[in-house]
Amino acid sequence: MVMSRPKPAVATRPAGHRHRARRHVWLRRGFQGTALLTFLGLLFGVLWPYSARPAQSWMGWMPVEVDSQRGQVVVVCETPSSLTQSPTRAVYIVDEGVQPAAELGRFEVLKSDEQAATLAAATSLTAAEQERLAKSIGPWSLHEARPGSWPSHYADELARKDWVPAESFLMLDPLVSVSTGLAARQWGRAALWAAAIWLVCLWIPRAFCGYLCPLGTLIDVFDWAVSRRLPWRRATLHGVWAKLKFAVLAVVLGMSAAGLLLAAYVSAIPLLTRGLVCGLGPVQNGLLRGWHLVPASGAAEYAAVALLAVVLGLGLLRPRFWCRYLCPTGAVFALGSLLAISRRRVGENCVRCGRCADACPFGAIASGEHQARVTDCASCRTCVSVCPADAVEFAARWEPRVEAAPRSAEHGDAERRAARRGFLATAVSAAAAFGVGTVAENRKASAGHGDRRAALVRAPGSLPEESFLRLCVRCGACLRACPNGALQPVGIECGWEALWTPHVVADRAGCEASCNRCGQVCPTGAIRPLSLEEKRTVRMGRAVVDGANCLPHAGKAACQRCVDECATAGYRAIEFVRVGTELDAAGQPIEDSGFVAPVVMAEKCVGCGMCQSGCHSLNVVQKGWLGQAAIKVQAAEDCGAL
Amino acid sequence: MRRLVLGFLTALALTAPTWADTLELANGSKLEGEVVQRDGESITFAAQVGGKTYSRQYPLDKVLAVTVGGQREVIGKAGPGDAAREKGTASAGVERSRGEIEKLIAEVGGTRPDWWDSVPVNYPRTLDLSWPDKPPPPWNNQRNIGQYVWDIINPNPGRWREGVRLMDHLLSVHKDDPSRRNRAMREMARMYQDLLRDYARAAFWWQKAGVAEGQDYAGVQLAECYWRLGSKEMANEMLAKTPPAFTMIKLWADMGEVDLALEMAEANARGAAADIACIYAGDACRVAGRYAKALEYYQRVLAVPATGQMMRRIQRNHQRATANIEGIRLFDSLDLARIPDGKYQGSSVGFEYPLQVAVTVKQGRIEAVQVTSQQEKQPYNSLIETPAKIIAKQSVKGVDTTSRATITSEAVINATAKALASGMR
Repeated sequence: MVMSRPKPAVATRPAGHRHRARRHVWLRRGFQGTALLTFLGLLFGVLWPYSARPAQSWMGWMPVEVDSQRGQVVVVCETPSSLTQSPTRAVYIVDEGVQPAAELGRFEVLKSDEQAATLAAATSLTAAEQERLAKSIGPWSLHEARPGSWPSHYADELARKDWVPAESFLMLDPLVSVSTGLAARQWGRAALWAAAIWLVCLWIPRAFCGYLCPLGTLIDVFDWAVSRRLPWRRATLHGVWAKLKFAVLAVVLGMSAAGLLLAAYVSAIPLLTRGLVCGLGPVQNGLLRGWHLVPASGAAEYAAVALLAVVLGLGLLRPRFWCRYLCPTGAVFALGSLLAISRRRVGENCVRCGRCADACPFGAIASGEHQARVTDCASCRTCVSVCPADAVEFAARWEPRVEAAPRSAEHGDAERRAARRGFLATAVSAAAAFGVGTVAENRKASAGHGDRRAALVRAPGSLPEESFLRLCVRCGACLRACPNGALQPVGIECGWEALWTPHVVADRAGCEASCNRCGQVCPTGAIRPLSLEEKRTVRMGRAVVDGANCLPHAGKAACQRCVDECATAGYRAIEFVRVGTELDAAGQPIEDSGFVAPVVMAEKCVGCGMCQSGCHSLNVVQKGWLGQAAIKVQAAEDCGAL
Repeated sequence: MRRLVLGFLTALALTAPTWADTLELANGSKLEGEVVQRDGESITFAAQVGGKTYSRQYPLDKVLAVTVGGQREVIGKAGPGDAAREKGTASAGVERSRGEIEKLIAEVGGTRPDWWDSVPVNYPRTLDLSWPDKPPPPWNNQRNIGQYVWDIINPNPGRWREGVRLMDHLLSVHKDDPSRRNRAMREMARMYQDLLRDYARAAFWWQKAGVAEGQDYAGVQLAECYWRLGSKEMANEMLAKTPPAFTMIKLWADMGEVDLALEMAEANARGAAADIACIYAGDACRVAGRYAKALEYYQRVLAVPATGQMMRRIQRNHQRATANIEGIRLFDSLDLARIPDGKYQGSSVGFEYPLQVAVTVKQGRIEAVQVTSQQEKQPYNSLIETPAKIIAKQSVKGVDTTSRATITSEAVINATAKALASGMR
């Protein structure tokens, strides 16, 4: 950051001063642009699950050169193989020529073309392994993943791309961390985050808003592209309105302290993330994967997009209207700015032209004034670049400087009185919010939506419902990270408290065994970050067969889709029972009578919902035999580790 | 032009004697190249693939035949498609003497399998272990042992071992009750045979239950064990002692005794199991290559009305018969020489749903048969075995089916026939 040294008089000021300030403005634009692009990259690149590729296998290879001592082999394939196009550098060899097929070990791919490949054992072979290799005549199959191992491609894909954590911007939003800390009674965490933010503000007051915040940048872009071209007059609001955001913050924090995470709806970064996930997410899916894979959006998605649109649309009234008057995240930084070491100061050579007030993108300088409100100044230095008298500078607060007098003492008094009133109002609204929040929180459980909420199936590793609602910031990162859209936002039907929280819609898709992304990208730990091993054993619900509906149970037709899906996913938690056996005259069961029907083994089922999505796609969508899936995942009491 | 021909002939003259050797491997693949070296244990062969030469040692026991200078020398026995198999002598591939089989049954049969200790004795606490001869109605798979086995053990491969342990448990519960012990032994034998395909142990328990004495319908089961273990002679002996039953049709057909199978089929072709008798007879004729006769039997299956208690079974047999008739009609028209190189798709109904295959033909040879989609319940090895057999035979004719996955095997054969037919010029 460029810090100009204080200089006593205009005459001695170097000519490049304003130039440097202008450069600084461009620097800020650069920061903003980079941050916005990074944010979009994380949202639409890192969180995008579909670049994951399941482990491949290549069949039909013949070993035509075998050096068993060195563990080096040449294999050929009669039909051209895709092995050479694959980035795979190591494969597991399985000998398909013996019964049962035998694994020969892991081999590195030294060289490959369409029909031949040279492979070398990844580890030195034992005598027995050497002999097996020498004896084997194939055909061999080559596998990227160890045969029989659990798939992990979705998890691997995130780990590969996640060198900048996908949830970085959400973690940077101070309101997210402070309010979830308050709501979940993790006081230490809340205090720690608040301290960290303010420490940063000491040096760079409200820099987040001016330099990093992707919502702010987007609002700037909207302003540049739309608002400033519109003919009507921009609204002018008295400076005291800028205090409104403190009232919003106070209400948000008061509610959070009472256990209601109001911050989830109005924090800047979650608001933006959610709006883009719900608005542009389906567009990306549609363009890159096909529109038939995009589900119809519901009320939750429309509401999220609408809220973002309103926030952007406020820019029509004034540039950065949201940031100036409403943004509670900005308010947290504004409070931090009070401690800032560096201050904007106006020298006595100020000609009171008012250009700085007009130019200030944050409205930190009251119209016709030249002093900025400390809480609003984002140190963007636009004012320095427009000042014709070179009167403005940013310097450490202890550096001596002769300052221009305020326009009038009266005005200063008025400001101070307004500030006092604002502070009082803020304190009162915080207390009121705490009171209202406590009452609402106590009523929450008894409200009519409680039962519906209890029936929601949450993502694997989600905290118990009450804690979950206090930590989930409804940012939608998990929705974006979830392959095939098994996670969907809850609409208004479960009450305001659950709006936009993620739940599993197993009719659409089951929770992939190879994926643990939702927990990895959750910024607050509402969904715990599970390792893939943990995730496979963590219960998210339990499948229940609807006996009256299920085709074989009802004696209508044979079907074993759910059993197959469960076996493919690797859980094998659904087994068969023979139903509807008929007896002959002698009382003996008739062979082939009745059906084998699915039974869920409750202790093995983790509730991934693969069975439900299989049943739904086959019997409801494809064949139209059923009105709804005959096996459904239901929320279970004993969610958590198996 | 002339230079081209001359050059080609020269090239032919140079390469022909060098690369004339072929090596046929036990897995059905064939390599062209040159025999570099040969000793008592292996052949070193320089194979030419895609214009490159690769040399390796092949163990002699993996070599089916080698052709040097046009002279074919058969070295080892092949897997599927072996000459011995074609005669239909022993489906299990091995042949054993009576003494060997008796020794095997005595030594292995009575021992516990290696998985024994890892499988718990597990059954519902509500199960009535007193095991009355006639279970009291209504049907209750949580109380009556037979119904528990029928409903829960049989359909779930994951529970088959548990089933054996349950029978073992019942043996000790009823140690003073010979009749119940006998039931447990028979049930255990059935599980070893039909579910786990452990024929030595199955035979041991059938014998222990007194089936070997003869005059017992379970004799067909024991006979199958003997045949699978490697003795057709012992199987025939056992069948001679067994009262006639339509289950013999399938066994005789599998054993290659088509005439005996048909005789038994005729004896049963009017009874309650007419559809089964005729479908088995049709299968026997088809595998033996008697297609006209096979068609006749399949038509007779279709003539059995699908009514009464056995409606569902008869309907299923109708479906199979129709698919097989369709397949056989294609068999004769197929001529690999008239099928251009390419990949062809075909499908046929399996147990419940269509099964799809992709067949690759190259230079008049069936190169690959891949099952691309299927929803079979218990296909066992049929999805691998049947394609391998078709490739080894280079035909869909006379390919025998995988035991206990007959329908799936047939579906693979019929789908392959359809795929090939679709490619015929």
